[in-house]
Amino acid sequence: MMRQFLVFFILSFLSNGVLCADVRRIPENAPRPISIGVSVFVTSISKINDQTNTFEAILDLQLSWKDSSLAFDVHKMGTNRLIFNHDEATKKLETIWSPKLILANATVQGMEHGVFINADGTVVFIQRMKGIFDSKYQLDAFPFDTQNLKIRIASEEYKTNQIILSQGQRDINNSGLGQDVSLSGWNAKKITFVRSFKRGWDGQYFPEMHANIVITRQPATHLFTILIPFFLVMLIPTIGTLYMNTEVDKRLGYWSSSILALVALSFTYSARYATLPPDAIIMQLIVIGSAYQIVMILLSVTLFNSQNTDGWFSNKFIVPEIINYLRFAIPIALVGLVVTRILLTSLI
Amino acid sequence: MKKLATPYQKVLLIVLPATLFMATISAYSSIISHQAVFDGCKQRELNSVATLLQNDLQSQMNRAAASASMIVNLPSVKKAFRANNREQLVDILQPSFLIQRDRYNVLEGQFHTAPAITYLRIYSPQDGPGEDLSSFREMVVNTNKEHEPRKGVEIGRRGLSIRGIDLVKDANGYIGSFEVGSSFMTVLENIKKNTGFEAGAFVDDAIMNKVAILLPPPDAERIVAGFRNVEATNWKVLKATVTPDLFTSDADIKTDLKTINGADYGIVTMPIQDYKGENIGIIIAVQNFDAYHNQMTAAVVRAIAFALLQVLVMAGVVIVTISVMFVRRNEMTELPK
Repeated sequence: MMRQFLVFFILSFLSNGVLCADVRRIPENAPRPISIGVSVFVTSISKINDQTNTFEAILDLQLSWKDSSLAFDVHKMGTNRLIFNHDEATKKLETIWSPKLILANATVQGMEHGVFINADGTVVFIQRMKGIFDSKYQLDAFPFDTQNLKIRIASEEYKTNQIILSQGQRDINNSGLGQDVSLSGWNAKKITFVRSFKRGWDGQYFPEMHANIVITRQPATHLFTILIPFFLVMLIPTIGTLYMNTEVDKRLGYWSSSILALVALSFTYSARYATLPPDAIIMQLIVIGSAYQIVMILLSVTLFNSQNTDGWFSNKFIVPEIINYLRFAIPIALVGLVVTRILLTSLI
Repeated sequence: MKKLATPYQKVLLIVLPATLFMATISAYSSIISHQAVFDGCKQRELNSVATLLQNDLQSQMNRAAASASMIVNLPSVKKAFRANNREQLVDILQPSFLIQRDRYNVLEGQFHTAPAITYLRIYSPQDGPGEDLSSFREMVVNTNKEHEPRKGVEIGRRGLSIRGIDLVKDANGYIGSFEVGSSFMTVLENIKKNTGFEAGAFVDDAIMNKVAILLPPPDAERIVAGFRNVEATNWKVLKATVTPDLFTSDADIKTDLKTINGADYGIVTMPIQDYKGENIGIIIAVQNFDAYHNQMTAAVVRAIAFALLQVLVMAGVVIVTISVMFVRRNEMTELPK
């Protein structure tokens, strides 16, 4: 009894396997690698999180390929296109070959799909997906950065010698960004495509297509919140040192307060922009600020300390003239340096 | 004229323009040399694309000629052609040519008899056997007249193709010729793959209307300055960048830099010459050069920043020195009076 059951089980398993392989096998009469047209139309982007390196989007992914075995006679069928929606599409897909492409960097939250089969055997598989996508952000140029929000369309089953992901003019025309794509603090620019491949665990290569949604950050608000506190931290001690006639200990007092304020500002920046790389504009500002403070402390205890400078030069006018010059040169140099760094960062 | 109030103002009037002048010259020279470097880079990139286009076109011609040569030397083909057996030729060649079409963009495979009479079109055996092509297919006429293989570009009934023609001969002598024609798309896709340039092939619309009658009529937007876009890697990009002034009658390859809608583009235009050397169209390849533009702007910002620093330091040193050495001393000496 046990043996009969085992034989039945094996036979049924094999027959299922064969049946499954028959209907889903890669089309034999098609040239290899089979070209799979890929287009992506982004309907909306709801959230960009550069702390977690993710974004949420709704997009239409359209895949098309030709399977001559599915071609049909227009006159017999009475149509040049067979349309399958929702459950019908799921059932149809179980009976035909498909390239089994996945969104490799997405957690899909919702999906609708449809299948169209044209009379010449061209299959068009459209999926509307809502998902959270992982994307590595490049923040070197923050807040002037341009990000490529990546959508990785990848093959898990078929290798580069079996299928190829491509973009014909039709796919290019079908790709793009919807007019409603708008994001607070960002400008959506365009979508670009890059063909790629991935090495599998078995050493084989699997094709990929990367759709990159290009967005640029609106820098004004970030610049305002970064620069205003920075210049405020530097303002009072600078006035106290350069334009007020005070004692050295008072000047040093201003600068020690400024140092503490800069340290606090640095912590605030780090907490708010935790993912920024070490050479981002914020870190550059902290370095510039620290260097400025050191220079100003040195000036306070040397040039601006009349007890020290009295014996430096035989000409008593030299130090006052230098001080007069530094009163406008130092603030100009600080502002110039900050503006230059910001401009250069924006042009990375 | 109002006199300058103090000696200090006089010093400023001399020193500031002098340092500004020197700093301006320094910044200008730096910007000019950066500009030259970036222009050189752009030009080299455009020249490389032009060279790749030419080389790839040549290699596609060679490939077409090699395919034609291989086919005409198949004994079964010679035998069937000599026996005037079209069905057998279709049986022998059509399966492999369908693969050639699907995988390698081979668009045409055609037998001719002298002077240029269509004997068999592999992809559409029913289309036009006996059609006289001699009025527009000089490449075929010359091959069959001079009994020499040919390769080149020419417009046929199915449009623009890169072609190779060879003679079919057996022991009894010349029978006819066989031609392989491949799509321009291969050349354009190779350029895009290797350089990132979007490329398109444009052909004289009047010739296309006259000769390429097996093609469907084109979209109106694909005709620019009397030239029809027959192939493009990305028409959306080309449409925005291709302007009538690019279509000149010059036989030279041209490289150009253009600003379109605020974006910098590098453009390569290469004339398409048929096998006789007459211009019948143009290949245009374009690439966005914003990266160069940003780098150049960064170089300008650096040059200006250093110039201003120069002004600040030099003016400071000079002002302090002059002020101490002359102005203050004069003030001191004038006081007792």
